[in-house]
Amino acid sequence: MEQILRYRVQNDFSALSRFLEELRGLPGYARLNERQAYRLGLVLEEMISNIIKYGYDDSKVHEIEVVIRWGDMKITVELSDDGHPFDPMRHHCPGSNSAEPLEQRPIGGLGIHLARQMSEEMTYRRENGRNILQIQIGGGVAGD
Amino acid sequence: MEIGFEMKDKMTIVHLQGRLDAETSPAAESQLLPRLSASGGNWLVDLKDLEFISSAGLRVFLMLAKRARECGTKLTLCSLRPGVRNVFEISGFCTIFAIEDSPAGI
Repeated sequence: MEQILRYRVQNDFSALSRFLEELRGLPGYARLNERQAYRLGLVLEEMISNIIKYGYDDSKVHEIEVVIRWGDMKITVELSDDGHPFDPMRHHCPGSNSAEPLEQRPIGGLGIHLARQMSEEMTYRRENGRNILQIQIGGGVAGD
Repeated sequence: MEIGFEMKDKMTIVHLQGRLDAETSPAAESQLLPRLSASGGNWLVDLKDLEFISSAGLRVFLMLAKRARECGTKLTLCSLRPGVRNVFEISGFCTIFAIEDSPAGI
């Protein structure tokens, strides 16, 4: 049976941590398989961190809306924020070029690359001044 | 996140337990980096109890690798769980680090 969860997360890192911790404490989360739980946690942390870090120039409080639908076979996540237009699908990921030698590799910048790789599908649209990112996380029992 | 240190011969064995994520990584980095610089001997980081790593945690490992290279310390990781190993593979970090299946290989 599908379960729908809706959250509003403020754009600061302690709010993100509290949200992720609360999510991990839900009985539904415990029922996800290990792979899905890992992917969901990673995608949420990476994409929301990115919004908090780069989405805003002002120091006002903003809310990032998170809708999670989890069913038997897949999880979908929708993130909506009023930050700068940002399409992660078009983002070049510094640091993701693993052929680069260690010394020349930039620190960080890997988050979006990881989140993209761990998502089955990611679609972006800009609507009414908001970024809307829909992410599907697969991972039924059948594996990759 | 729990960090434990153990000395075996001249090697430092580091046990990481819990989650290395955006919340816990800054503190982990500030515990690990100075210790690596001061230790002298080689390092084995045992990840059998590391449940989760995100890019924030990878950043800590990248800092450790750079520092280890500066200090001439050999840094080896072992016992990665499947989820953590997957993140290392996707990010290309498997090519940076010496990774063993178990601490016995060292």
